[in-house]
Amino acid sequence: MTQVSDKSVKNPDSRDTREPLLQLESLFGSTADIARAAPKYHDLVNEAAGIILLWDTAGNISFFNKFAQSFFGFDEKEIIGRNVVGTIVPETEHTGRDLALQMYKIRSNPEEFEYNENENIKKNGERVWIAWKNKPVFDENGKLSEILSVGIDISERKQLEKRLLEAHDKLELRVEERTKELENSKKILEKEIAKHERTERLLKESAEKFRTIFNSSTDAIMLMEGDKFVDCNDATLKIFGCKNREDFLGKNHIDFSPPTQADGTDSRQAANQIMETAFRTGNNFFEWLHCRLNGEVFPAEILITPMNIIGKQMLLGTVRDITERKLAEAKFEGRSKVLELLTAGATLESILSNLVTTAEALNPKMLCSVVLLDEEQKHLLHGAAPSLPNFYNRAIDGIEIGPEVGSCGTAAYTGKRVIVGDVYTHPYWVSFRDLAEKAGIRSCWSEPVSASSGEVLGAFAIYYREPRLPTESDIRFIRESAQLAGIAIERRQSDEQSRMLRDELAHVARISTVGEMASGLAHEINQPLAAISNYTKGCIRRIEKNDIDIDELSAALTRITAQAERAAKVIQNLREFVSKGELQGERFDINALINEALVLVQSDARQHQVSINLKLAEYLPEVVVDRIQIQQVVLNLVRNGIEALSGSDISRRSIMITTLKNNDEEIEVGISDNGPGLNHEILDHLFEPFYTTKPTGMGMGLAISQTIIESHGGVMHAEPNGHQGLSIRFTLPLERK
Amino acid sequence: MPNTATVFIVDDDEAVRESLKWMIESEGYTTETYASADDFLVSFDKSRPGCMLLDIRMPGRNGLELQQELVVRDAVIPIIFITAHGTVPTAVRALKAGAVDFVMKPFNDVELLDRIRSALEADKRNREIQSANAVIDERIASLTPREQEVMDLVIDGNSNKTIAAELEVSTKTVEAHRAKVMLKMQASSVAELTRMVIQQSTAAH
Repeated sequence: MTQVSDKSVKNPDSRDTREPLLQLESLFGSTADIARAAPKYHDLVNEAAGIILLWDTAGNISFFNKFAQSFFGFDEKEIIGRNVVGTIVPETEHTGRDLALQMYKIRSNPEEFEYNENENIKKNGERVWIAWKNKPVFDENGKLSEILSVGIDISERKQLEKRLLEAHDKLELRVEERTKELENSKKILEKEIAKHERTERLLKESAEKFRTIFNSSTDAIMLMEGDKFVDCNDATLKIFGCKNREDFLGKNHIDFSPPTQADGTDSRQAANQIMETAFRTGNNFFEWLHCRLNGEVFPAEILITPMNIIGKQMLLGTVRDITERKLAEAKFEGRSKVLELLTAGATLESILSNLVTTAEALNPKMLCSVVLLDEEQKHLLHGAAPSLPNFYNRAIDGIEIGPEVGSCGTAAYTGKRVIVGDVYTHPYWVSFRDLAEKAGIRSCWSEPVSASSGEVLGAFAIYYREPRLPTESDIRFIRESAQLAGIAIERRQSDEQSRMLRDELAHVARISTVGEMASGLAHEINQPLAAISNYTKGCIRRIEKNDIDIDELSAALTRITAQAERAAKVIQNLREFVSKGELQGERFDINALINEALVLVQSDARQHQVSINLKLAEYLPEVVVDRIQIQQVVLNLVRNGIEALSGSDISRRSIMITTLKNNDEEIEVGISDNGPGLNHEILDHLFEPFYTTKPTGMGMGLAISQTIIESHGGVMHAEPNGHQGLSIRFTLPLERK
Repeated sequence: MPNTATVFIVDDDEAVRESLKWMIESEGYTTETYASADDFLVSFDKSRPGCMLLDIRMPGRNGLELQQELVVRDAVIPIIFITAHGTVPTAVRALKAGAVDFVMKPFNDVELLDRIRSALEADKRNREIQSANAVIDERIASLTPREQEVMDLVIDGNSNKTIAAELEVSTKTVEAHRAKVMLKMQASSVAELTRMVIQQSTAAH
């Protein structure tokens, strides 16, 4: 009983299972001994509350105690001599283990399977779990003959184990789930972190970018809080001419604005209004005159945006210096304006004045002038200098040019640019120093104005009230201005020449017209003379007969006077008509002008039995025209009409003259006849010089008439007069620039 | 007034028109002035005696055309055309068309008034002849067709015997007709009868 094998305590993990066996062994010593000690212990073994069996190396059962019999449900006869597999041991366990193989392993080598747990089966098929303790039984020769196996039902434990296992599995599952959850959270967290890191990086990058933009921007960018600048970029300092941030920060927009803006409004008021708009609409984009720290005014384009930064209401301002752009724009505009004026036929004086004014508008401190050269190319003539004092301009007018005669006199003489930074010290200005002082000018740069042929026409000059030397941009500007003046002067000179030619042509045409109308004109003078003669003779006869009624005589004498005036008027009109008029723009009532012209053509009309009807609009505004030339046009057109009617039925020959105001810009004169009219082919060529449908005539009348009208800024065209005759209409502008 | 000789002045130039009136009236003539041919035609009455002072050159219907119209209307009024230098050829045409005279501007008053006087005299004469012719016309109209036949043959210089043969009637019958003709025509001789009829026939054509 005390020979308990050391091996029996070998496996501490299965102590629970072994407990009852150990108890048995402690009771009986070696179970095998007990079996051998039969029958002495036969009853004991049989009655023992445990399964005890002996089976041989072939697996056949040789002993099966009572407890085992009742436990498995087999009686001794049924079980002895039968193999364990197929009786109390199923072929395979629930777990899938091959028990036949297991039994074979045990019986082949029982020592290795001292403890063994496997599934068993009762006769009724119920499966039970049994913990076995196997012990080899050797024969006398020491050869393995049988195996003593003692078993106890561990089904409950197994059940428990199973439940535990299940519980464990559940736990595992939950742990697994939890782990997964945790892992997910972790991943999410990691993502979040990554995201934050990225955002942070981006923020950092963007902040850097912003800072780079902020500082490398050529536009001034500034933040304003309340009425003080609180931050600004480098460009701000540059644009506003500040040496460091202290020059700028703490000040406000008014400190950097001139007192008034370009349109004359008060800067402070204008700024308040602009800011109010910005706060109301979210931003405001506008142009503004700023000044630099040194007071120099410059045009700027500004965008202000109100924004909330760290809970503070601020204004973000972007200021772009548009001096260069404005300059380019102004240059372009100035150029366009000059060309426009040129084509509109403005006088040279007004064109140059405009050029100078436009130039001066670019820089309020700058004074400009244009001087011209006289025909001899020896003396300066006043051109345009609206900002220089009159006494100065008068003093310059007529000065003889020379190698050292002020800036302009020298420039005009040498044909080269003359830069005088300080007139008080420059040798060219020795004789003009007092004049300059009186006029308050200190520096004068002059660029010769040249024709395309290179011939010097005059000079363009820029004056300042302080000593000053030009920048590159100034030089460019003075050169361009001089060029522009050159274009204007040259164009005007050639215009002048062509105008003189045109006037000459018109004059010749008028003289030839008068020649053609001689007989008619003679008649026109004869009529009043005849009347005078009649009245006089009537008077004499009455006096001679002493048939005197003073009232009657007086009336007759009055009529004589009127007729004398009538004759004088015809002659005066005629003389003016053939005079070599210059295009003189004066205000005239077009209707009166037409009536005067008709005096000369009346007898022509009578001779051809043409009635002239007038439909003149009342209260027409006056037109600025050369009276003689417009009368020439009217006369030409009426005479053409009379000729066109020469083949028409006598009772129907009529010419209609109409005047009307087309719109606010022009009046229209129409001269229509009811003659045969002209076909379209002829109409197309009507105004061409030397084109004529008459057997006699130069074909110049209409061409000259059209030229005259166009030189007045009007247009002339011919069209059929309804179904019969020809209508020629011309317009005259109401306002001539 | 219908029997007062009137100087009808037609000129489109008011000053010329009115000054002519002033001058002509100084000689005691009655005048009427018209600004155009059409104005004149509106109030024209060919029975009114007088003469016309007509401007050749006028807008609308000119002097020559008015003259044509008066011929068409069988008017006998003498016309003095007013011409100016350069319109002489036109004046010649006017004369050929029956105008009595023309004057040139500026006017010589003596000459003009002289011509007016002549024209008025001519008109008076014309009208006397015209009225005499009208009497003869009336007498001729009172003859029977047979009496007219007889008168024509008498004027042609036929004897009563020849006429009787021509008309196949007796000489006595011819004599009776002849006496009736002489009575109705108030002719005292064949020569007077012949003069009356010839004058009439030339005036009619």
